[in-house]
Parts: sequence; structure tokens; C-alpha cells
Amino acid sequence: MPDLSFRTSELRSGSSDVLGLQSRCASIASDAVGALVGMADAAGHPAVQAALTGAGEHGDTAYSTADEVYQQISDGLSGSADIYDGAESTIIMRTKGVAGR
Amino acid sequence: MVPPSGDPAALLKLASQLEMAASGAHSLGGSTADTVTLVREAAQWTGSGATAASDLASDLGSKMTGTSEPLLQIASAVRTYADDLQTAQQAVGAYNLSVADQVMAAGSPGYEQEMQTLGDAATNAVTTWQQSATKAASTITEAADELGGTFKLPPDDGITLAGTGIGTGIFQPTDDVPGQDIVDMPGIGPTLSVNLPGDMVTSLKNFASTDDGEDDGTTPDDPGAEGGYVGPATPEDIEEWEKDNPVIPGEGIQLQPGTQTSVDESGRLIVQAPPNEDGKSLVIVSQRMPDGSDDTSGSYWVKSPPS
Repeated sequence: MPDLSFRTSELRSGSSDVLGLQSRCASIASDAVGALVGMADAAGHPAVQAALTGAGEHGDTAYSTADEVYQQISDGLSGSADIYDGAESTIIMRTKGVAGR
Repeated sequence: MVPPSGDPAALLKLASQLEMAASGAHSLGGSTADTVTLVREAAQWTGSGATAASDLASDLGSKMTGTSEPLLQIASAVRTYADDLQTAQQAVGAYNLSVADQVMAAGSPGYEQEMQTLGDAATNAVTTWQQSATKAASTITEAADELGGTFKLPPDDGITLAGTGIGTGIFQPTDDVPGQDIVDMPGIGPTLSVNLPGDMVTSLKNFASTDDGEDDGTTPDDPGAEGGYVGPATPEDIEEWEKDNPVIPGEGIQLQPGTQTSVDESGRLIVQAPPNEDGKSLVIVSQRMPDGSDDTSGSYWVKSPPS
């Protein structure tokens, strides 16, 4: 039998690890964007307020994008594990199918 | 005199919060690449898919770390601004207090001089605050642009991170399994690159380059064999092929109809197949079932030689 059984469990575990990083990213985003929005409210000067509002929007966009990338990496790891497991299942299935030949 | 509006205490507190977020982003950036590297090592995951995953994580980590610097620049600018705001508010407050006192203490010796001094101080502090605001706004805008440019979203091109092609699903569909000869199935949707035992690859490669002297569509050079191997056409062909390619029953992997093979410049057998309904299995055999009967599903079969 072709040996396709490598450590897919590690890929699944890694997928969860990356979700943990994504959670940290969300927390950082909340802190950073929350600080920028709060600063805009407390600034007083209109130019500073506008600049901080813009910074908050940029920060929100940046960390939202990062969030998507973390999700994609996590999905990629678990998806790869699914594919490998599926390939192995197919081989096993076909092997059983011809065993009585 | 109207004091500048704003809350310097809140600004300083929020600057600290922003600095902590920056520190967290810096740390997270480092963890990102490290995590995927550890996953690869633990899974013994190699090949182009694994490399693409590492590249993506490395790029993401680098960019995540890169967000910390503009956050720190903003925090620093806000601290300076908050200090100047507080100074201006206090100076104007002192002046306004002296104006109130003047009503009660009019005519006191030296009082007008003190008023003048406080008035000048307040005016200067407000001027400094306004200049500080202009400078802070400029610094914050510049840093914000850097922050926003960290993860670019090119129009109509999805999310891109330098060199990784994120958004194209680059590393999920074309992974390969480590440890054995590689058969790639690139660029055709959700596919898998399955590693097969070396002997099997050799046999397939030999078969793919076979010219049996007949143009019956059973070997790659035959008319009708569009772009590559289509497998033996009849049970007799299968038996003939098996004479040169000893088969162990049960060692076969299904390939979909339309599968094509070729040999690349490095001598690797390239197998290309459309995905199954579940987008997963891709294996190789002749176009008959191992028992010689028709495969009504239209699948092609190849049997692996003894390993």
C-alpha cells in the first residue's frame, strides 16, 4: 500500500493553534482600534481627532485582513489534513474492493 | 479665555493601551511563523504546499510585527500632544482664575503685571498646543497610512501578501505527502498530489512513454490519447501490460476519467485529473476494473507493481 499516512493529526492540531493566534489578533485589534477611537473622542483638536479617526479605520482594515489570513492558514491546515485522510480512505476502500479478485 | 477642549488624562491612558497592543502585535508576529514551522515539523509535512503555508505564515507574521511600529508612533505623538494640551488647559485656567480674582482685587499693586504674565503664558501655551496638534495630526496620519498599507487589498485581485498569492488557495489543493516519489497534479482545482512508491512511478512512467506500435488510443503516442495516457483499452491489453508490470491485487488508486499524464523535464510523472465529487481521490489504474469487467463509473485503473 502506498503510505499516505503521515501525521494529519498534527495538521489538525496546528489548525487549532493558528485559530489561537487569530484570537490573539482579534484581541490586539480590539485594543488598538478601541484606543484609537477613544483617543479621537478625547483629542479635542479637530485635526488630531480626524487623524485618529482615520488611524482607527486603517487599523480596523489591517487587522481584519490579518484575521482573514489567519483563518485561511487554519483552514488550509485542516483542509490539507482532510484531503490526506480522504486519499488514504480511498486507497483503503479500493483495496477492499479488489481483495477478492 | 476659552481653554482647549480635550481630555489629556484619557489620552495618556489610551496611549498606554495602544503601546500594549503594539507590543502584542510584535509578539504575535513572531509567534505566527514559529507556529506553522512547528506544525510542519511535527506533521513531517514537506513539499510545495507546506512551503507555501510557511511562506504565507512568515509573511503574515512579518506584517503583523510591522503593525507595531506605526502604533507606537501614534502613541508617542498622542503623548506629546496630551502633555501640551494639559499645559495649555492649565495655563488658560490660571489666567481665567486671575481674571476672576481681578474683580475682587482691582487696584492691587502689581496685579496688572501678574495678569499680563499669566495672559502671555496662556497664549503661548495655546499656541504651542495648536502647533503640537498640527504636528501630531501629521505624524498620526503618516503612521496610519503605514498601518493601513500593511495589508494591501489590490482592486479586483483579492487579498495579496507578497509572494504568497493568498486568496488563491495556493497551499490547500496541491499538497504532497512527504517521503516518497512525487506525483504532482497542479493547477486543476481541488486536487491532491499523491506520493506513490517509486516502483509504481517508474512503471507508470515507462508505460506513459510506451509505443506499442498500434494507434488504438491505448498509449500516449496514439491518436485519440489526448495529451497522455488513457490506459489499456481491453482486458487483453491489461493482461499484456501486467506481464511487464507485475500487479499486486489491491494496490490501486482510482483516477477520474479525463486524467492525463506526462513526464516533466526532471523525469517525474505528472498526473492530472479532474477532482472527484468530493474533490479528493486521484489514483491510477487501467480503464477496466481489476476483475476485467467494465468500470461503469468510467474510472480508469492502474495497478501498482510489487513494492
